[in-house]
Amino acid sequence: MRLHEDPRGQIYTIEGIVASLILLSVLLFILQSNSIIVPQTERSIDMKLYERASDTMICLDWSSNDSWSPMAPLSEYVTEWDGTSTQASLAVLDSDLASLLPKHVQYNVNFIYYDGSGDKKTTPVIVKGIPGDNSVVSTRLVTLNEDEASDYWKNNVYTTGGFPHIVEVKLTCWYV
Amino acid sequence: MGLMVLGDEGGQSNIDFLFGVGVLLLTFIYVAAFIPGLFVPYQPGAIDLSSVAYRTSAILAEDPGWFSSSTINGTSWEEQPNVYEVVSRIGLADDKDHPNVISQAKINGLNGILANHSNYIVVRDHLGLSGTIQYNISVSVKRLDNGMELVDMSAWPTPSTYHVESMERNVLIDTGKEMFVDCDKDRSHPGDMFTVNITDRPSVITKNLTIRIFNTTGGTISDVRPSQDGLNFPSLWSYGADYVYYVNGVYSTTNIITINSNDVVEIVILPGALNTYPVTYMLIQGSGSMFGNTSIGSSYNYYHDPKYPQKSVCYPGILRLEVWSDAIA
Repeated sequence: MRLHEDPRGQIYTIEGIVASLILLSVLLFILQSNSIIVPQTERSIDMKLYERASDTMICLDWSSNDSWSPMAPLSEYVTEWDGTSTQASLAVLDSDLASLLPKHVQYNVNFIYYDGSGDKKTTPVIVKGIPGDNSVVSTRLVTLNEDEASDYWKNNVYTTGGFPHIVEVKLTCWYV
Repeated sequence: MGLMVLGDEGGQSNIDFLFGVGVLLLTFIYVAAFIPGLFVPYQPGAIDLSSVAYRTSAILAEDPGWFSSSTINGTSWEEQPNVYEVVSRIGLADDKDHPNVISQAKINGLNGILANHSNYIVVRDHLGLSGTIQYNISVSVKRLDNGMELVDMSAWPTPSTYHVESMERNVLIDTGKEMFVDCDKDRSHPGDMFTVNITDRPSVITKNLTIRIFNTTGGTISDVRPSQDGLNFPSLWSYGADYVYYVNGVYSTTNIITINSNDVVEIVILPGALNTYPVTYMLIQGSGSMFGNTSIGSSYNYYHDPKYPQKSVCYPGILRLEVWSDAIA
């Protein structure tokens, strides 16, 4: 029998080699794709912005009964609101927020409340743009008492009274 | 005569079958050994450090800390004389109910521990950073209004690697309680003298007493005098050693100051002046009718007067923490 001239018996080798090639090409395909990036890095950036936004709202929401701070408390901006976004005191809130939040961050502030007829109203108070995809939100609830509420609240929103009411102050921040 | 193949031909395997299976197995073993290496993150240590930074910043900004000795325990670790031995957790918050409000007294306590630079190790260990992996930190608290750094930065080590994770928190720095004298609150008996009553004082006073006067009608403040009975107020105190003034936050070099109606004066009485002898009343000498109600015999309790209450004075600031580890390059 002359082995080297016999063309039979090659099929098993080809099968083995083709199977190995399939294995290796699957491995190559997986390596080429970009889906193995660890997502933690992006999440930590979002987490840091959320902490800053939440801290900013906490620092602004202090009680004037037993403390004093050079920044006016959040409740004062809500109780004295005149219904517009051009009120002079809102410019002070804007500059306070700009000093507390990090650089390269834009923000919007909304007041959210249920008016006298039970409708939910979301009114933008400070608008600096449309929030991006990676925006974070932090909210605080402020109590509106009858003796502190401005004329806007008493005459335009809660004409029938029903105090105290709750107003939600919502801060939306995003990186630019 | 042809070759005779020995015995039975059953049970033979082709050589090329062996070869093909061998190639397949080799490839398979190679791939199986390679897969675990795929999941090693491209940035070693990045995940670990940001969670450590978050946790440590939460302890510093939201937790008042804890000390515990054989006899007492509590959160006022900065007041303990042997703080190195009894502190178990170093937190800077005023109390648990007010997160993000940190106390100037605790920052001073931290500086006191750091004053001896080898006690950086104490600070690091009591922030939970010395476990199986040892971390190093650097903490800074800066006021937003004047940019002043409140922590002694010379005590922290410098990072030895490029991989440093930082975390910033907004805080309110509670610089202590002051008596808020808003002269607008009561103008029924305007006059030039304001008497503060400290009969509820502890026998030894350890901190400054601060009286913040604002909304006066303007005038001159010239003197602060003590009394042990509320009737006689001898001029026993000297400016600088016993009491000082800050006008709108700026230290005044003289005891006679002229203010107008929108100035804010903080009169700080130093503890030494109050402990030399048992002072129970203090008289602030103004001019004209700058104070609101100075009817005869009226004095206002420093600790709990309903009209002129004590309030904490809080300034916004940023707490910045940097964490790195020499174990992770």
